[in-house]
Amino acid sequence: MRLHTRRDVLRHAGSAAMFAAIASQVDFTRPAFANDKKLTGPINVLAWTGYDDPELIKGFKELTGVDVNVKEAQSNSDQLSLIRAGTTKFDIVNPDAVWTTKFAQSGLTLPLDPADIPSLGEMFAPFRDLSDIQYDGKMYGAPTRFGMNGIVHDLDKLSAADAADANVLWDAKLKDRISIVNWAELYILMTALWQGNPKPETVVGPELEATIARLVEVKPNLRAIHDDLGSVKSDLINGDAWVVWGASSDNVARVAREAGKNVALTLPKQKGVMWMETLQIVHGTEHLASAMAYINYMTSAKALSIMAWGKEQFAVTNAGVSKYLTAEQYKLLDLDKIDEWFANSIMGKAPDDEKAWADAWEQFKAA
Amino acid sequence: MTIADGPMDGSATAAAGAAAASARRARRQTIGGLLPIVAWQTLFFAVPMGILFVYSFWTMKDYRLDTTVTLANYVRIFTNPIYLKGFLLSLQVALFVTVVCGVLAFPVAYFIAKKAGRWRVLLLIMVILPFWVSLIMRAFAWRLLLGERGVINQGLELTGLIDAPFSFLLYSPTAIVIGLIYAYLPLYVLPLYASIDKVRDSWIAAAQDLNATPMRAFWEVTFPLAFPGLMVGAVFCFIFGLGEYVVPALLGGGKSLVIAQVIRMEFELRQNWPGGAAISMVLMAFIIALLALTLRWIRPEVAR
Repeated sequence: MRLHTRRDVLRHAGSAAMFAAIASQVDFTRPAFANDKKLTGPINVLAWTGYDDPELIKGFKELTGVDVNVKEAQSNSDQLSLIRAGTTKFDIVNPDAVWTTKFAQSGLTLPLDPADIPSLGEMFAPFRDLSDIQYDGKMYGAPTRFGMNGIVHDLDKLSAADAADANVLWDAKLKDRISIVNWAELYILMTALWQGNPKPETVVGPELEATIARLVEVKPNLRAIHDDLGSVKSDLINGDAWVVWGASSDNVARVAREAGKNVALTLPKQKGVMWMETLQIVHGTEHLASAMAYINYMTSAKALSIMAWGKEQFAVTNAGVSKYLTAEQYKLLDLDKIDEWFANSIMGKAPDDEKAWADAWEQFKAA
Repeated sequence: MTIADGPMDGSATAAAGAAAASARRARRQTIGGLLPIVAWQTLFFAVPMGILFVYSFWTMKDYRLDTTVTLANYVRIFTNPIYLKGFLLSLQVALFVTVVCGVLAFPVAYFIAKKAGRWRVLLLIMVILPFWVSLIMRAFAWRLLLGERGVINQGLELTGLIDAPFSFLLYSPTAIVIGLIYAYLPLYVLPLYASIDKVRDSWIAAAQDLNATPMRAFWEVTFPLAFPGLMVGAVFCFIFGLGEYVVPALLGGGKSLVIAQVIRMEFELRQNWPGGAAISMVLMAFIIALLALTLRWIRPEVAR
C-alpha cells in the first residue's frame, strides 16, 4: 500500500509552513485566555449599559488583540428578541441571572465549564452558588454585577426607622409618593416574600391572588410606574417621589446622593431582594475562544473595578476589586455593606409559573 | 366604404394610434409615478403586516415559536377582560383628545387662514415646529414643566398664587391630556387650515349680503366647507390617539393600561410575539374599518 505520494508530502509541507507562519504571529507571552485556541474577532457584545466603557474595551484589546463592539440593550427582553432575530451575530449576551432559563431553553446560549472561569473562585460568597445561573444542571452564565432591591427614601420625608417595616409603603402618608419601575417579577416576588412566603418564586393560585390583591392596595401610593431607571432617579431627585421601591435601589440611592439628596437605602425587616447580571455566550458564535476570553476578562477583579467605578456605578460580584478601588470608592459602591445585605436579603429567582405571574402583573396594571 | 373614406380612415387610424400611444404613455407614467409609493408601502407596511398576520396564528412554547395554526390568540383577546379594558381606555382617550383638539384647532386654523395676513407662513411654521423634535423628547420636556419642581409650579409658588406645588400636574390624567393635545393639535390645524383657506371671502360676503348674520354665515358657509378638513384632522387625531404609548407612559406615569401598553407587555413581558401580533391585527382592523366608514361619509360631503 502506498502511504504518501509526492504531492501529499508537498501539500503537508505547505500546510506546516503556513501554520509556522501564523504561529509566529501569536504572542505566547499573553495570558492563558488564548490557551491552545486562536483568538478571532471582532466580537459583538449585547449588554446593559456600562460595558461600552472605552477603558474596558481598550484593556481587552491590549490583552488579546481582539476588538469588541458593544451594543447597548434596554432590557432582558430586548436582548432575547435581538438574539432571536439574529440580524446581528452577537457573541456575548448579558441577561440577568433570572433570564438564564429563557435563553438556554430557547437554545440561544451555550453551557460554560466553571473550570474555564478561574475568577468564579474570587466572587463574593453568594455568587459562587451556581444554581442561579444553571439550566438543566449546566452553568450558562458568569456573574458580573449585582444590585439590591429595598426601599430608598428621602430622609427628610421618611425616617430609616419607618422604612424598616415594608408595610410603610402601604401607609396613606405616602399617597402618590412612591415611584417604581415596570419590573413585574421583582414586585410580585417582594410582595410575596413580605407576605411570609419563604420561597416567593413558587407562589401560584390563591397565594398569587393574595399577592396581587396586596399589590393593588399599594397603587394609590404610586407616583409612577416607569419603564426606565433614569425616570425613577429623576423623580427622587426632583422631589416628585419621596420613596423608590426596588428599581435596583442601591444604584438609585447612589445617584441621588451624588445629586445632593439626603436619601438612604433601607432593607426592611421583611428582607430585600438581590438581582445579578451575567455574561453568556451566544449559540453559534464564530469566535468562541474570544468570547470565552472576554468572559474571563470581564469577570476579573481588574475589569470589574473599572466597571464598578465607571459611569453607571453598579456593585460588582468579584471580591477582588478591593485591590483596585480606594477605600472611599469601595464604600461609595456600598461594597462594605455586602455582609449586611446578604444577611438581610434573598437572591431573586425566576417564577415557577411565568405565565401566571405575567397575567397577575397585567391584572395589577389594569386595576 | 367609399373611395373618399380612404384617406379619412387613414387619418382616423393614425389619430387612434396616436391616442392609444398617448394613453399607453400616460399609463406608463402613472405606473412609474405610483411605483415608489407602492414599493414603499409594500416593503414597510404590507410585508411587516403580513408577517405579523402570519405570526398571529402561531403560539409560543418554551420561548420558541410553534407554527401550528390556531385561533387561540384571537379567542384570548375577546375573552380576556383586561384587553377590553385597555382598548376602552384607549378609545376614551382618543375620543376625548379628538374632540378637544377639534375645538381648539378650529379657531387657530381660522385665524391663520383668514386673519393672519402676511404672518400666515410664519404662523404655519410655528404650528409644525414641534414636529422637528421627537415626541419622546417633547414629553420629557413637559416633565420639566409639569413636575413638582417644574417651571409651572415654581412660577405659581414664586408669584404667591399657591403655597404648595400641584402634584396632579404630572403623572396624572391631566398630564396625559395636556401631552396629547400638545402632540396632536398640529395634526388637526393643518388639514383644517387647508379647508378653511379654500373658502372664498366673497362667498361669506355673499351670505352676509343676503342678510345672514356673521354667525349664520359661519355655520352655513364656512363650517360646511371646512368640514372635510375637520374630519381629516379628526381621523388623524383619533388613530394616533388610539395607539398612543409614549404620552401615557411618560406623562401619565404608566399607571393606566392603554392598549399599546398591553401590546408591549405581550411582546416584552410575556415574550409572546404571536399574542402581541394578534392584538395589533385586531386594533388595525378596527382602525381600517373606522377609516373606511369615515371616508365613505367624507366623500359625499366633499362632492357636495
